[in-house]
Amino acid sequence: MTSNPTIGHPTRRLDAVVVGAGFGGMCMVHRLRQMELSVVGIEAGGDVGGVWYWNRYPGARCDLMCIDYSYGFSHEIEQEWTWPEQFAHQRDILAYANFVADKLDLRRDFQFNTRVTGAVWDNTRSLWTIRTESGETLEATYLVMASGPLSVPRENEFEGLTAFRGELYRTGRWPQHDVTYVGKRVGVIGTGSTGIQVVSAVAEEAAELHVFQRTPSFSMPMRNADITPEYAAEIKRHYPAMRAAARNSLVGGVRPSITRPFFSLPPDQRKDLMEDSWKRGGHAFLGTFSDLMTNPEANEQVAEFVRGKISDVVKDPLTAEKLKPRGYPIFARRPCLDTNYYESFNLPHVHLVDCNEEPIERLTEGGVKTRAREIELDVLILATGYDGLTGAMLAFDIVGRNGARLRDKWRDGPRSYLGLAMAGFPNLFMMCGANGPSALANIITLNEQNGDWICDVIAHMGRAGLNTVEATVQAEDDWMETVRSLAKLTLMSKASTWYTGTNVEGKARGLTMYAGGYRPYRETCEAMIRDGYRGLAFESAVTKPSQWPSGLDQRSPAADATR
Amino acid sequence: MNRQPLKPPETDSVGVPRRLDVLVVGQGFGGMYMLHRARGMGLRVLAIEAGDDVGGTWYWNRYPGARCDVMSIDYCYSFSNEIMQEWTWSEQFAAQSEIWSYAKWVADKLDLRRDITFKTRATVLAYDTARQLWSVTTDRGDVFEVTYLVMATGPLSIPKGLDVPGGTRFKGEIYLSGRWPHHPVEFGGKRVGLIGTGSTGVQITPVVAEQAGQLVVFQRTPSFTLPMRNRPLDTDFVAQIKEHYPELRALARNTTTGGVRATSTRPVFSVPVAERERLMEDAWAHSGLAFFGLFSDPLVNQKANDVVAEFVRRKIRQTVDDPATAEALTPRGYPIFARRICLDTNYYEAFNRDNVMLVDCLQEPILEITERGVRTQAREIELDIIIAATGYDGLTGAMTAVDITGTQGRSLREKWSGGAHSHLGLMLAGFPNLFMIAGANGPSALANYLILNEQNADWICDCIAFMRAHGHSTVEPTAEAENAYMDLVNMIASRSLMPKANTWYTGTNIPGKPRFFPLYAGGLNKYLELCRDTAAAGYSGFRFSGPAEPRGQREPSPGQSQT
Repeated sequence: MTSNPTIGHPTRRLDAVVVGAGFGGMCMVHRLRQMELSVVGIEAGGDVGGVWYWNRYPGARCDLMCIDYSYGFSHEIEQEWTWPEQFAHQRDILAYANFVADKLDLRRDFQFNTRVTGAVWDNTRSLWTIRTESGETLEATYLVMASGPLSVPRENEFEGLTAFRGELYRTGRWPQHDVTYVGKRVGVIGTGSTGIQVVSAVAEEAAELHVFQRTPSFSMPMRNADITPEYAAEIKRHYPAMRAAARNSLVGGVRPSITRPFFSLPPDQRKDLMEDSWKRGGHAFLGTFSDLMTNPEANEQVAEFVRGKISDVVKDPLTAEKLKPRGYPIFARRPCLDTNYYESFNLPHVHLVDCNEEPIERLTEGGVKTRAREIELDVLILATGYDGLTGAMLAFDIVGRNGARLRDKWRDGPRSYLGLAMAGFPNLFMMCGANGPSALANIITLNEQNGDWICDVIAHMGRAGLNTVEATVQAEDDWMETVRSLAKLTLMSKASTWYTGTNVEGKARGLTMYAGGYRPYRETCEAMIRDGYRGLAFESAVTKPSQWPSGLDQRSPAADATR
Repeated sequence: MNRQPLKPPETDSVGVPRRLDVLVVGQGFGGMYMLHRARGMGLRVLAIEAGDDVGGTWYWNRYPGARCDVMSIDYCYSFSNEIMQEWTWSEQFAAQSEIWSYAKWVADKLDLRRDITFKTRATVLAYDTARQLWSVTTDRGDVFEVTYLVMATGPLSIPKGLDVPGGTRFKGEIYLSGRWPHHPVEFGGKRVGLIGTGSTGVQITPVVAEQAGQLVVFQRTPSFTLPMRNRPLDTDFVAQIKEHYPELRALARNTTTGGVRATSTRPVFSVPVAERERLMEDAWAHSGLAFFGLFSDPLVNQKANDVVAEFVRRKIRQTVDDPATAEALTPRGYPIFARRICLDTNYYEAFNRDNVMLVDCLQEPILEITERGVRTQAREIELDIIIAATGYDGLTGAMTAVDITGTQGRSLREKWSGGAHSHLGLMLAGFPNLFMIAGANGPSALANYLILNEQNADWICDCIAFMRAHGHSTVEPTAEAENAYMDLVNMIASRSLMPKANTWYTGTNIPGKPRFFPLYAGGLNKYLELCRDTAAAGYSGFRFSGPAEPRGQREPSPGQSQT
């Protein structure tokens, strides 16, 4: 067994292949290497960072606080890195990813600018055969898909995409070079988390800005703040305790969540709390009431409060009215945190195009043709979202036991056990999978937990001399039943979003993420391990002892750390 | 072994044992609901109560200023929507008189009194192994023979009393807060001494200060107290609560405390200093209870605890005019919230009155009660009235006050010589068919008793129903299950700062009582889950036995092998 590519040889034999060099893939490669497994990471981009590598669009920023959205596994990394702002800019997050990659010397085991084109399970040899775009073949005992929930931008969503003669940019595939808007007529299609960030950033520079809105989002003020040296020092002093608190929370972060239901308070106090949260910004709103995602009445009252705020901010009543989201619960579509989004519409050169009234028909040479008119543009920015959660898993063909294809298995939506493993797809693990808490939790915390779990299972297999692992059909069915019954309890199912798959034509619908919260999820994962890896079926390696890598029985110290 | 027929004839004749299915000891909120439930199951059940009416702690504690520190909308029954709809609370935090009225109203509504014998104390409880029943002797000479014995005797039922020598010598009036007379006490123009500054003393001080000629507060351990900011509940708010009561109660059951008061997941040091100060100032100004909704970690992180404690110490300095008095009132040397936090109305403010004097017993300990008043190490203080608010033999006092003997002649006092030890706070190995409500090893004082009482009684009734369905006649936890549960209790306690203070939680307020923190500090919701899972797993950790029939006639039952 070797981790060194043999020059000229078409096939490399590895213990593990990790797909993706975002925060999930990075920590996975690191952890597997700590276990002394031979591992190669495959990444389509030119460097580490995943979603933060691709999304360089103006205004790109994380909607989680940086003190949460960062690795917790290494005290050294926590101490050495200093975040400048409460909500970090994309370039800082990408710099952080690079800092971590340097520090852990990760790049030597990553192959960049490489896309996987297919993965096939070889039942006789109990390994995955992975082919890349460049024609290379890798063989690996384990395949870890760390390909992320937001990696495949939607495409071909408009007629005439190639006809447009101006500059066309996709937010999720933003060029590395600078883009200028001065004196230009700019159009932005899409008003989700991305569009909202783009609008505020471009509004000041552009000569004209047309915002094409299909579904209005609820957006709340981010009120980003610099992190003072004193605060940074205090955070660093208390990082371990904060990470522990985060792991015990429903979201995997220290942002407040609270147990107070909406109707336990008198109206005046509720109003005060909402006003105060609006003033404080950030995640303050999520710390006001406990039942916003379960009680439609409470939800509607908060939604109405935010609609009122839109009216307060936007001077033109007609524009304000169009910007107000209706017909779905607030927080069911991912809530946006903005910096002067609604305020932008008070600028004379910023125009809202309500696509409910005048749908986009096609792109033209000169701009965008709606049902009512043609709008001429020099620059068009598509912030039209992603084939979320499942897109990257289905981007290439994954063929499991007996020729079963993942695309068939997931025809009616993704299904797996804990979002981590699947029946019929042995030795394949997913990080931040579509049936775990995924986008409902802090994805970095989740990635680390997923990575630990995967390493725990692999170490167990090494100790027990086991060859293959997969979820039992029963465990997968039971888990999906849990996922479904929780989805029924939350209002999140009630909006058309990438959470529910309704933004992509022909995609199966329904909330497939585990909505029970990060902590219960983590505890469930821990409990099944404690109960002897309940729900997983193993095959013994007795028949194929030669397949076993040597370092497998060594558990790394990190795997034993209490998390 | 002597085997008796299972059902001796029922009788009311004096001295002749009365045969019952269930005897409930205590008619506070726990016992009342237990009686109601057991009766609903068609069991022959009676209750005995030492007081001459229902209400338990709210029957006895009629001292001036007595008030519950849990919100009224939480501190009431949740099992009957009818009761929730018909009763209306007048204040956010209810006064003793209102809570007692509520208890009496419920007793009327459920017609409980017909099955309650008042002014009756159980004195000897002995298990008859051969006949599989409990023999209960009362101070009035009744003897009951019962299959199931339910101790609903409460955590704060046995006042510690005046723990200073010379009480009988005093020529004035002496009152115990926990045995307050039913007639009004006149303080007008009198010199009143108050010994004790726990939750009770803190409530008494401002009320008596306004009436008395002079009030001398003897303080041994200063308490942290937060402003209650009680307010009347207006009609609209009450209507809103009633409309949403069932869902609010369901949400409350799913919290760590069992109430709708806010608890937060935000750790202290995740919030910048200025923001922390603002949050605490805001809570101080509006509601002491809001402090629980600010931060998640004051009870697990000493440094986080210091931040909140220091804020309150500063508030004491700001409130109390005389710096020496302020300093003496300032608690030090134990974590805030480790001693039960008090919620007060003008406690610290009372020390700015000319007629109120603080005696710091750390500087001048009380030596004795004299004919004329209290003698400290420094002086004799003349008094007309002495109020002893000296606390309780908490959590275990009411259980060890009675002579309880289980199997093999083992007494409970012996079993608990090292501190309370039981399974789930519900049952005791070696004491078959004896159930406790709000037992010392459950969440007890850390949770809302009303919710805990209901769940405990429901669990007990379910267990009895299970036994009847399976033909079991006795149940008790295995020693292993009990030990494992107590290990869990200890493990959770070891992570909390709560065991670090000398309080009735740790038993250190009673001379000779072993220092032991017996409470389950993992949160009410987790506790309920544990109890539910135990029952769902066929009462794992419990041993059942069949009826005491002659050998050879006993048939094995399905649950018999379950341990």
